Amino acid sequence: MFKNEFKLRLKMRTMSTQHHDTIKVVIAGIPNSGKSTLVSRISGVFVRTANYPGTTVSVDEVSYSVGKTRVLMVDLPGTYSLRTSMTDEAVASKELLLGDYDGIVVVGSALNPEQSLYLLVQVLELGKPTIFVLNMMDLARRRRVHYNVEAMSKTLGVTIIPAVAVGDEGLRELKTTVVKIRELKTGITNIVNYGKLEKHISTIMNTLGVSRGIAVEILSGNPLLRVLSIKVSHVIEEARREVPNIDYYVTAARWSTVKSLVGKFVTREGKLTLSKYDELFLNPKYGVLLSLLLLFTIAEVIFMVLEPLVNLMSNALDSIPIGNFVSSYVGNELLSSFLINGVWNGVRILIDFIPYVFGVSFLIAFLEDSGLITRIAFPIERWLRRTGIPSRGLVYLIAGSGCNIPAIMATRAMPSTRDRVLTVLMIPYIPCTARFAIIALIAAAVMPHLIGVVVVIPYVVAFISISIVSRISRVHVRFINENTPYTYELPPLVVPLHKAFTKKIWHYTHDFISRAGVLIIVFIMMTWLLSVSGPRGLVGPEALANPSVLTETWLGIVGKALAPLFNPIGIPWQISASLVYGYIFKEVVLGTLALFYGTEKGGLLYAIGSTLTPASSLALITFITLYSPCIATLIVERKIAGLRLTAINTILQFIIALILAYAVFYIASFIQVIT
Amino acid sequence: MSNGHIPINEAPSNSVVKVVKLGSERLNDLGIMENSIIKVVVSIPHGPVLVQRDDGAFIVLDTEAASNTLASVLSTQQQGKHRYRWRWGRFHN
Repeated sequence: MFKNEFKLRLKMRTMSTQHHDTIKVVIAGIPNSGKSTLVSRISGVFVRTANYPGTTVSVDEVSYSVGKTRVLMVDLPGTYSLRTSMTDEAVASKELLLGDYDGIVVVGSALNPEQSLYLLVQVLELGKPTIFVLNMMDLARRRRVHYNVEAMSKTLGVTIIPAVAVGDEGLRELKTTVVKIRELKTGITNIVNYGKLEKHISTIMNTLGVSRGIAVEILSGNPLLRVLSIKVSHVIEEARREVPNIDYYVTAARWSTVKSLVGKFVTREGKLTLSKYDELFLNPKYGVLLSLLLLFTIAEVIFMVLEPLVNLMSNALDSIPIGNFVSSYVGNELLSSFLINGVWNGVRILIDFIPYVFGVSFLIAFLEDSGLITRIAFPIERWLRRTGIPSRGLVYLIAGSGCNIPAIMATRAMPSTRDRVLTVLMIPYIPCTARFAIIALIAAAVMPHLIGVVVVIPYVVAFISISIVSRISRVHVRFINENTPYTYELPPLVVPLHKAFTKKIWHYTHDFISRAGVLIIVFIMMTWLLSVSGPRGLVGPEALANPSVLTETWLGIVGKALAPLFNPIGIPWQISASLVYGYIFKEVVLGTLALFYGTEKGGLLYAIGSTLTPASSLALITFITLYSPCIATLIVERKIAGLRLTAINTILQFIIALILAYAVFYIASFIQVIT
Repeated sequence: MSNGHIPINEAPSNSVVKVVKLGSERLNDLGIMENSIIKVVVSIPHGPVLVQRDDGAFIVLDTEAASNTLASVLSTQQQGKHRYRWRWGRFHN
């Protein structure tokens, strides 16, 4: 971890020495201050997202040029202070305290001057050139919150830019000021008077040669500065004799300063009350129902609108005569199969995912940016807690019913690493639309009169297995030392339909293609290789068209080896072997089934209907719901949860699927006997 | 829970409480400290709580933070009927 971090810092340093005209600025801000919107509006289209070294926390980097000067902006996770126990916020604190940069832009919410100034006074103590952006000025004006910006700027010694990130206000000024950030004054570092601690702060500053901010953080026991604090342990002990609870003392002094600043420079007309909408969502009695109803409605509308688009795209891709085109230019049968079934199939699957990625990105971005996500999470938290699902995680689980992949990728916006990893491990249990296509086919083939009831089963088994897995996963994610209670400020409820919102959706979609796209194609090419080769070497592309040859390939052999597991519950080997292909892409299962039964879609219904009993079909539906996500999902799951947890989760998923399939089979058989 | 101190999520909605013990250090950074006087706006028994700071900001405490935060109730208010005007896209008092 430290090695990687060292490399990154070295790279940054080398970069700043090579390009004398590159300015590195870190963007800090309180959560829900519109920081990311502001960065997105400034940056243009392309945002580079990377995990912060040693963590699963994503940090966005954007750059733009003004004349010959290049500005590199690092958008840090939102934080309320420089000392925090939450992994994501600790990334921001660590970069602010120990990072190598030219200046800081602090983004505050004009709706919440106290919280914004609380972060600003801590940043000012670091003695770096600072710009303070008061975002959401439009909402503040509407709520009749007024600022004396000029006087506040003079007192704090920093440039203050009132801004409306969603409406361009203040952005041009910010862009031009950032370019000159090295020339700006550092602001008043001793704006907070720490009374009895002042002499100890000076001692630490002189001994270690650090800023006032770092000295204060060392005194109050910031865990990020433990190494430095050892060197001045005698000073800390002396200070503790005078002020037993330094942490509390420092916080109280900061809040006292903040309240005095707000009293001088901010005026409010009227009292802040909850809006009618908030009262509806946060109501302990019917808030749960309303939240769930709203969530399902938004998700359903998005997927309903998307369905024709997906079909249109799928038909358009089908109509491309890629097979004829390749065959006419490539004589070699194996190479031709590789290009069609390996490369083109990979590209096709990737393109097929894009509408779902877009839909789920829209859903999640809407819920996040409107402030609905916190309101939906509030009343249902108590219920979800019993099942072990993180309250915000529910939104991503529901989004995962469209497609698991974008839902997993979007969890990067979750503020807690622990909750994020837990949610990512749960999402693959949610049946996506592709899994539903197979489930619907089986239901239609075996129990057409009960299809409405049967399609509910996947959700029931998904819920049961998530409850089981959440308990098991909590043990595995213990290494994320973050079991702290979570508190946050209620963000304002807004309609998020603006340019930055559409950019965010584009960013999510682009991120999916750039991060997972190549890997998906490569893995599908590898799976093609496993389906045309076996223990005797290369079997040849005819394996993809001949069931008897298919069973000689690696995938066919694995499929047949699994047959003894499924025979007791009435599932024939042709079906169990087809399920192995579901690791590529769920729709491939249908194609393989058609190949094994030597029939097309209509005939396939008849073949399945005559092979499976109602009990074995219900067991199969249960198994398909849970047994595994596709390779693409596993790739993105690994990116967030890591290889170890993804591997454990995938094995666990298979075991739970098998156990529940057996349970469903015996329960259904019993009911069948007694009725 | 002695001396009339109860978990903050057991205080009734619309009551004013004095915080006696914090359930999360994070609350300090959100301006809620020991001896702070705050309003419990929405309280879900054994669940999360929405409180209002003296400056008007609304803070959400999750179930764990709320259950571990002890408070003493200073006053309770009967929730009166609100006279809202439904104006789309606007905040209303």
